[in-house]
Amino acid sequence: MKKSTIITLVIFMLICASTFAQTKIKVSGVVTDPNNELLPGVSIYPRTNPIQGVITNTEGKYEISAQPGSVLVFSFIGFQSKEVTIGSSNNQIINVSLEESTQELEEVAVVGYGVQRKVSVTGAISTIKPAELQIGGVSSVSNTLAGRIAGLIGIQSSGEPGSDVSEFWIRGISTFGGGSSALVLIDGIDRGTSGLNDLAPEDIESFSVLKDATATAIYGARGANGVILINTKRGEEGKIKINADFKSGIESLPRLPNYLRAYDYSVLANEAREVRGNLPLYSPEIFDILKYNMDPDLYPDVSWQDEILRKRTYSMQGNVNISGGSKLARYYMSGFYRTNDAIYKQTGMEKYHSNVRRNQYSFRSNIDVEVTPTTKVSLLLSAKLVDQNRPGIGETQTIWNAVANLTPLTVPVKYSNGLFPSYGSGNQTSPTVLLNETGYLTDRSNTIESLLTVQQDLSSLLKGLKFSGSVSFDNFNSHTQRRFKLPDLYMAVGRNWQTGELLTTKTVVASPMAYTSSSYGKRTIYIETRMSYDKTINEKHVIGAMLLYQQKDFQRTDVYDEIQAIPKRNQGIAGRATYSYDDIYFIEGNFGYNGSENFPKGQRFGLFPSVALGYVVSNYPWVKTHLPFVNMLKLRYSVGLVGNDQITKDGKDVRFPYLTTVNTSAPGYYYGDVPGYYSGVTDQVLGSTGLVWESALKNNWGIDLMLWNSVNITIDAFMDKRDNIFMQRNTLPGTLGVRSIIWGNVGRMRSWGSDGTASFTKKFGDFNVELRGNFTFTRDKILDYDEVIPRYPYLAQKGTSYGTTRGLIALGLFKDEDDVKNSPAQFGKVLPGDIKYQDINGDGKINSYDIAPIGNARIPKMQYGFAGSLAWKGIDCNIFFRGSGKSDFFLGGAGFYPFSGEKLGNVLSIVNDQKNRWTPASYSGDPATENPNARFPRLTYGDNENNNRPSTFWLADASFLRLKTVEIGYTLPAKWIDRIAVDNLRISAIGDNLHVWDNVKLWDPEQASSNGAVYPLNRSYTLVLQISF
Amino acid sequence: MLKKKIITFFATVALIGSMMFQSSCNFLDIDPYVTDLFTLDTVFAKQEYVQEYLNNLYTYLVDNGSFRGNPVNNNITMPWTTISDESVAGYKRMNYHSYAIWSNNELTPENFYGFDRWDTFYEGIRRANTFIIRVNECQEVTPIRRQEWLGEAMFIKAMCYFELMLAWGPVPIVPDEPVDFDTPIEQLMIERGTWDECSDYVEGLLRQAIDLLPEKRMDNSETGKITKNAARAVISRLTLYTASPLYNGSNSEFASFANEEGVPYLNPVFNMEKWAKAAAAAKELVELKPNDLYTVPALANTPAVPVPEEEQAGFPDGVGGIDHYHSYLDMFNGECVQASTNPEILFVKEFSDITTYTRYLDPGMTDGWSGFYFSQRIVDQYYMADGRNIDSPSESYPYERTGYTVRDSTFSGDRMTNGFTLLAGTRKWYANREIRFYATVAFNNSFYPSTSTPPDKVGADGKIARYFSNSISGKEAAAQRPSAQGEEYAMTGYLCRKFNHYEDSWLSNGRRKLKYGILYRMAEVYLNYVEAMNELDKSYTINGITVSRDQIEMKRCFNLIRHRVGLPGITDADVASQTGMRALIERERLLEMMWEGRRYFDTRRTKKAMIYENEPVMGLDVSARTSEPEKFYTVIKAKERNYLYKVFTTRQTFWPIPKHEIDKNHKLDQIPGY
Repeated sequence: MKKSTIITLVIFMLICASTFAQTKIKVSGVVTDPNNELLPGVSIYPRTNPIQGVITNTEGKYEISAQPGSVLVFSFIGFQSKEVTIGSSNNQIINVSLEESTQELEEVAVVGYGVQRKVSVTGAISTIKPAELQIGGVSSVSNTLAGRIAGLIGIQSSGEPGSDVSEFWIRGISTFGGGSSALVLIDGIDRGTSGLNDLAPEDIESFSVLKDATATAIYGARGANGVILINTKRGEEGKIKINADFKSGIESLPRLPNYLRAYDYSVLANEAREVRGNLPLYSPEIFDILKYNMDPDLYPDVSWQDEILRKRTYSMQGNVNISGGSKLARYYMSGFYRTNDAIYKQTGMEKYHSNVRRNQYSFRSNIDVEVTPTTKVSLLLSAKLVDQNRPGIGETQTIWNAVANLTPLTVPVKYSNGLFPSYGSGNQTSPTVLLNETGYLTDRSNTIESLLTVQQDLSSLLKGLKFSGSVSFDNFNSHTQRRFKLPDLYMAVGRNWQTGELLTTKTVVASPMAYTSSSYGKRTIYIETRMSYDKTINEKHVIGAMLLYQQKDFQRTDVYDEIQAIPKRNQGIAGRATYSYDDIYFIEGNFGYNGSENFPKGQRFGLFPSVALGYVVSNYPWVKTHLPFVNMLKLRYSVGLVGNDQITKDGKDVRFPYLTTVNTSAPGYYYGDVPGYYSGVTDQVLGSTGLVWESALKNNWGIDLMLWNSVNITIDAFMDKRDNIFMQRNTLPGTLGVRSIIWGNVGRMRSWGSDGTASFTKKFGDFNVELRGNFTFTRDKILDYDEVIPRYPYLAQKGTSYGTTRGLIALGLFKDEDDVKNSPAQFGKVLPGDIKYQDINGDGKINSYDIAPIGNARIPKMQYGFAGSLAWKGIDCNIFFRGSGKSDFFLGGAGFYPFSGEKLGNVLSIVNDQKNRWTPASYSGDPATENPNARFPRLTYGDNENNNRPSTFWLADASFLRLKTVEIGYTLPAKWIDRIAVDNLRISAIGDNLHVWDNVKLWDPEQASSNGAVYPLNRSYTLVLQISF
Repeated sequence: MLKKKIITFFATVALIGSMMFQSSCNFLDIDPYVTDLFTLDTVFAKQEYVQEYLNNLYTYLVDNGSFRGNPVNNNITMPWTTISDESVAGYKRMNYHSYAIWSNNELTPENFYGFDRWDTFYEGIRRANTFIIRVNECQEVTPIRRQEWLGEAMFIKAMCYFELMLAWGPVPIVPDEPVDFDTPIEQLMIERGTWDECSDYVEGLLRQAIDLLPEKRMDNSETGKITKNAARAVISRLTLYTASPLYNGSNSEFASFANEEGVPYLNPVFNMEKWAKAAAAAKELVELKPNDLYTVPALANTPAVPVPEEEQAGFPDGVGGIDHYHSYLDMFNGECVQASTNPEILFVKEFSDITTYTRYLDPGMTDGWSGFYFSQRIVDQYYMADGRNIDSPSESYPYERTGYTVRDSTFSGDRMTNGFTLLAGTRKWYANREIRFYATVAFNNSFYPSTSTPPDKVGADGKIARYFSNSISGKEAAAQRPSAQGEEYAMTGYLCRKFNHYEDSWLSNGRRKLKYGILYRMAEVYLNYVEAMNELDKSYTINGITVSRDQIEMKRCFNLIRHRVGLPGITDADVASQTGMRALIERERLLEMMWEGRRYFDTRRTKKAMIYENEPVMGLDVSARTSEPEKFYTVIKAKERNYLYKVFTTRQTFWPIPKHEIDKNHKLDQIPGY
């Protein structure tokens, strides 16, 4: 095979070397647009010999030599191409006026390893206009995806700079074994979600999401979870263009948990104690002290949120890009920065320049050079620096836990004698101390990404044949430096009864500044070669074929055992063949044949084929004449097999599950009268033979409809069957003597659903109206799960949806003593007003056998978005809503369960409202307070083992509808800005995350936090300036 | 020009392309990384690693010397002493101190509190199987060496099965070949074999091992490795158990405990041949080692023992010439430093947890943890010095319930070092008792030389263990101990000192003498022999060894044990009575092998657990203060903790199969009652 390849290539060389010459004539002229404006940069070339083209100069003039009688093509981006047949006389003058085109750009779609005419696309592919990705605050691109793309489910859990990115899944989660994340390809290279997160939105040329088998099978073993394809912008022939975009935002936190202040807290604490027969904690005198804040040392009243958070923070983002070029060479260069400051109120950190924030700087340079008329070389380079600061404790989560933990009267911000306070260590420390007194941590990372591509047109050999080869290497380095310190921390225990002096006890001993650092790197090398062939026969038969070889090597240095350190590799060939007849019937076949080093020899490769059919009804002449308003009606079906080679456990890659490894420091034994230790070795992890690929059989049915040139509808329905899901074996009997983790392809899961988009675009006079909407709806069911058959069927994973929320079923609150007496035994001593659970198995006890599926998974199974935009002359306006549903989570933990941590744990202010809690009439003196529908049961001071456990009582519905963005922009008229040599100038204001309609109401439902101890999602107002020269 | 460019380009492409395809065939091959890795192939190719793999197999041998679920020193532990009637445990915690959960019949299949060794022993079996299958790959050593290794692995595999049987009764016997994990689960579910099948299987493994193992370890650095005699000792214990009533006909309570075909797991029909087999197995060793008990020559103050004239001859014919106290005690407390010098030892664990965990036995005044006690019934089992029972003492060695000794008396060494001192002021019922009593039971007012206690750490009680409520080793001090729940005092008024060396002290800067853990010793084999012979009705020949109820041999073997500790031997009249002998043997096994882990099985296999473990746990009233000695010496039902009682129901004969296993293998039959 190797030899034959070389020979073939040599033959190619010989054939395409033969070129021939002929007498030519000279043609010249000017090219204009419909308004008679001169057009520079228009390509003019003979149709038969495109490589001999020229372009118009800045005055729109051109000059070209061509063969007499040949056809010249005038083409320019944004305009319809025009063909002119020239005469035979020399020195002809042909002036051409080009018509603007709105269609042409949309007519191609980016697919795996190439582009296709949109009409011929048979797979399920969602695209988003890059401009839409720019509408939003100063944050990652990933946060703009959810609700904008049909088929993509996304959630953002944190608003903190550095963590404020979204997780996303294509068509939901359809495996419980390995990884479920999509493959993200930027310029064809796997750059992961971090590559997407840090991408400058202005650099994006196209953004496609490949969902079904025909679109993803070509990626073989990597494609089962869907693929996101992003291409960055390239230079275009024409004069130099400079675009600059600046964003400046003000961010605030719209939703924080609302906690009780000291006085209300103490009153409620007394209730919590007395309603369970305990003595009150605070005496009336203390109520007065608290009310009038008379002793801020022993009885402070602190709002920790106010102490650590500012009202607002600022963020900035800028992108300047330069593009242009000639027929021979084109360039696109851009610089990007983004800075996000956290909203923390930090004092004393200025000396280190270490406020919590994230700064990103990146450059990109995409250059295409036509080395010969048939050879194009492209070099795509980008570099990125990311600097992040955090407090010395490392994780800011500790601060949020401390805010949830420390009540207003646990400790003051600072004691009057100057000592720093703390109730305990870790998340019982004062949040201000954690934020300001623990030193700081910096994370610095840099990334270099490169891609060199050579494309050769082999038309001289065989018309329509193209070759391309690419090499890419990416490099990532990260350094973390931590300077950690801690002052002595104290807690007040009382006062000297004679002098009134504050008595304190030391809770945490000071640590002097200690320095630690760590660094690691990642490196990827990727090689790809590709042959493609396109041919049209008799104008009706269109044939296309593509064959490709790729290999990838990935290595990371932050793994420290010899197995993990082996580079991750995969290689494969992939191919595609397409045929269409008269643009009515389409058939497409794809395959990926991939190998991964993770499997034993002989089982490394898997074949993943797919086939798709397309039927464009609207291209029948009959339809064209009788139903002229139907611009497009396409029916699609695809089926295929796609693989998944990700195996992870606890977030770590599982490598070579077929290898049996040896533990060289196994326990040994002592022998001898003078016992001497003799070390041991033994097997550590036993390999499982017969492991194969996790595979997904994907079916997709789709319909594309376009009516009256203004209404576009695309709806897809899908059914995936995931087979051979990797999972840890749970059913192997102990008699096998295997105590290590054994992997097997034993899981099966089915997922199904539908997604679609609809849009309406229309021009009414000066008004341009666009309405868009999309939805994603997924369901799934575990068909096989390696689990010990449980005592009751509802305890099983099998047959349920993956990640289903499980808990006890609450029947309400106990009405009275008789109700308690006549109900099954629950947990501990139960009183009226406590939560009553359902005894599902009827054994007279409430225990772990009564835990049943009670809600959806945390990851939403439904998302939707709708948007509208209106443009009138220079003014434009965009509005975007997005929503999410079929997602549940539990509320609970410190800061939610009132008084569960006794002196620790804030109490939400909603508890203070009598209608929200059950209080015995004996305490309140009013029978109405025994409200059977109260949101909180009878209070308990300390943990309540009956009430404080996951049940439907605490189940929260995470569905919401969010007014995500509103943008109002104004483009200055050309006549104003021409004078300052500016082509275009637009200013706009964007409001992001303006309102949420939901059921949780305590904090943002998208974060699905049990107790609100998270950095909330920001609300931002951003001013945008866009200039192009 | 153009041509040249194109040619150059394609030449380059061709070059790159060919290079790529060249390399691509091996691109996914990780062999270059893996061949240098440590794999099992590497292990079994090299002598050193095979030995290390074997060292790891040794860790599956259970350590008799540990009482808790989480062992130290890589040992595996089982709580046999602490959950049987020979001791009372002061702990009932939901962790490795869960002993009372067993005693109180509260054990469930869900939780074994650190003692769930089901998976562990099967893991040992699988690893031993791997070793047995692959050991011949090692060509670096002579075939003889490989034979030895094979024998050791077979022995360990047999031991894993035996330990499983001891805890769970009849257990599944798994195939030797490694299992393909893709096998349908149904085929991986293996049902229990019957007890007899298991017993025969284990005996077979041990017989194979005997053929392969060396007779002796030549080098003192190899003490603790398996020898032929170790395997013989296991066979002796195993066959004795299999012959015992529980497994041999007297098990009607387990009639429903049968497999799918209805075959009962425990043999319901008495078979005398099993006793013959047990006798023959013991005889094999007895003939090899007719008189091999550990002895220490008489010291200057070795006390004269009151035995009849004809038994005064030198040991082994009589009690003469040896110090009985040290001959017994020094095996356990570390004084006999080198296990290889002790002919009685058949199999020993050189680095037992006992050195660490004697802290659970020692009194508070040496900073011990006093977690396990004797009940009054066990204390009363010890003979008087002249071999009589406490309820029929002689005039010269009276058993007096009241009064106190008036002077200190030290024997078998110096007061401050190796001797035993019975202090003045000791309750008189502790005087005039047999040597093993003093070597084993630490009663109130016991003197512990604890020579390594730094002088400044000696407390108010000096070196005397006093268990009054207000004493250093008593209840009130225990309540003050950090990180404990106040259980660490002698709740019945007795501690065990059998494993305590006169140097030992847990106070800071104190030392402990290193002790080895004896797994099998000749004393047990002599008693096994006597017990099996006692049951025989006629002469049997098993594997060429003829056994019968040979009264002369029974008396000789029994009296070896008695004479070594200075007690008068049994008489011909004693031997003549089969039932009388049964009682004598049972009591001798209890006293001789006190807290060595045998009692749990002895009571079960002879069906006596129902009697002994349902008796109330009696002890002294340790709530009495120093000022109330008479109150202290009243025998009462132990009341210091409400869990200080024992219950035995049939289901406690075996442990339940753990839930995690029975859920995965529904062919496993649970012990009736769980």
